[in-house]
Amino acid sequence: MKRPILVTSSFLIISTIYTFSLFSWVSLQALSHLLQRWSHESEMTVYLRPEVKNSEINQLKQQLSPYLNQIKLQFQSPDEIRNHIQKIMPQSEFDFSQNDELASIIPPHIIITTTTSSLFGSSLFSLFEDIKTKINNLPYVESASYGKSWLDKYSLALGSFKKGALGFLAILSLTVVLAIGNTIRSYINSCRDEIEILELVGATPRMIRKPFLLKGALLSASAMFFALTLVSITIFFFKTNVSSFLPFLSLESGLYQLSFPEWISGLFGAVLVGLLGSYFCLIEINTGWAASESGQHE
Amino acid sequence: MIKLSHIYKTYHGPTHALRNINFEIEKGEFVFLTGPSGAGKTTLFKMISAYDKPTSGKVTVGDFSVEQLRLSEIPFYRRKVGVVFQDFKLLKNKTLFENVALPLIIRGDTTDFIKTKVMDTLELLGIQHKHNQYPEFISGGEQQRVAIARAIIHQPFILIADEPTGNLDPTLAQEIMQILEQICAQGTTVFVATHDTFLIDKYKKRRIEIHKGEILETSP
Ligand SMILES: Nc1ncnc2c1ncn2[C@@H]1O[C@H](COP(=O)(O)OP(=O)(O)OP(=O)(O)O)[C@@H](O)[C@H]1O
Ligand SMILES: [Mg+2]
Repeated sequence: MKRPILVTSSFLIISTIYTFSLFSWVSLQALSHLLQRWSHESEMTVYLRPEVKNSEINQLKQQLSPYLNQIKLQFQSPDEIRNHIQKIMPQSEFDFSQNDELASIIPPHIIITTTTSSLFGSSLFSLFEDIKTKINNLPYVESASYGKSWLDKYSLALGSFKKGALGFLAILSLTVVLAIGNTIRSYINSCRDEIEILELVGATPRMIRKPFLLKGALLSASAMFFALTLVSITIFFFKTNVSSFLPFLSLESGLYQLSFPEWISGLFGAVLVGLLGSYFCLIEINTGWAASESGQHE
Repeated sequence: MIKLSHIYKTYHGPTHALRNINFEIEKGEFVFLTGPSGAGKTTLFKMISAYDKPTSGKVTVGDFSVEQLRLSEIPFYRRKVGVVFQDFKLLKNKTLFENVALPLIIRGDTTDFIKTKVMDTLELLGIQHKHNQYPEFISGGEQQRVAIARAIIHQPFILIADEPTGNLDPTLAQEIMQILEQICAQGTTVFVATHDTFLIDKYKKRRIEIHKGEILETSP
């Protein structure tokens, strides 16, 4: 290719943009995985009045049955609670099984957890909220609550981060399109003589334009290949080295190596962006009558 | 073969580059186009080679109404016309062989055909031994031969040459003229623009002289 400095600089710019985008993509993935894991551990607890009857518990289960494909119910009766405490504190001097006060300290309750992995973050919370409004005013329900606040904020932040990243990505793609356009435009300008000669011997506009289109696509795809390689190497090092320094964050659990479909769609997208970028400057090539009207031929 | 009737060409300015040009050239003729600098010779050739449209008038080359060609038809018309310029217009990063092969590659000929045809044409012009050389490393006369080889390899029915000897010394100029004569003798219509009076006098051919865009005289 002519103009090596121009091509190299735009290659660097474009691959930097691609690398940046890929890193945002990877970290978004990692953060969503983290959110998924954390919110999976979140659960909803429905406290019931101590004097709740078995028929009422069955009625409550009936109420919740429409959700049973998404949630799991775990009922804890006063007896079970007593047994449980007995189990974890075996050498206690109290005989918990006889202690009725205990039932009022820890009332009978139902723990609701999700069973589907696709339900996390805000969608999980809206399900919990649904259940809450449905059962809150039943006479035998004391209260229904779930550890919402910070996870909710986290998922909200992630959501807006995702939106922001998407907008940013749009701007970056435009930048890449323009960068490729500029590169190909100056490349076309440096090939004026060649283009003129090709026209002279009867090349069709399509023949003349094709190599420039392909060069735009190649530039974009090779920058993407470079970025993909860089990101893969970084993920590899992160997973093997860095995460062992910061094990408590357990970031690596959500951090996956780029998959084959991701590689393919990355390269495919880059080719499209490259074609788009070079397509727009093909009008620079005048063929046919227009060629002389712009005064290029003496 | 070539017929121009009532050709006017006015550029922005306005410059009246061509004014009421009328002439006809028969198949197999060899014709000089003469006139001082700025007379409109190149402009006239642009009309014939479909580089530019006349402001008015008709250009007929063979069966083609040149000024009425659609954009998509122009490349195919140019494949029937050979054009040679004063500045050769060779691809610097391609060998002589590749330069000459260009019209055939574009036409989509087979590699074998291209190979024999290119070597034959280079031989005709006496430069077959340099086929692997690059244009920069050969003389001006040789470069013009390459340009002529490229212009005739696809057997055009007309060959137009815009001051083909302008950059060459007299001896080389005569060699090029002999080559053009030879091409004409094989049946191609040859139309050469020049203001080299020596050549015009030496090769007694029909001559169309223009001055300030108008035909001054045609001879004989
Ligand atoms: N693209 C153009 N735009 C405006 N004016 C032009 C253009 N091309 C040619 N002209 C003008 O038309 C006139 C004829 O120019 P042309 O190039 O045809 O002359 P010429 O006979 O080929 O001269 P030379 O012997 O120097 O090559 C000149 O006055 C020139 O300035
Ligand atoms: Mg001229």
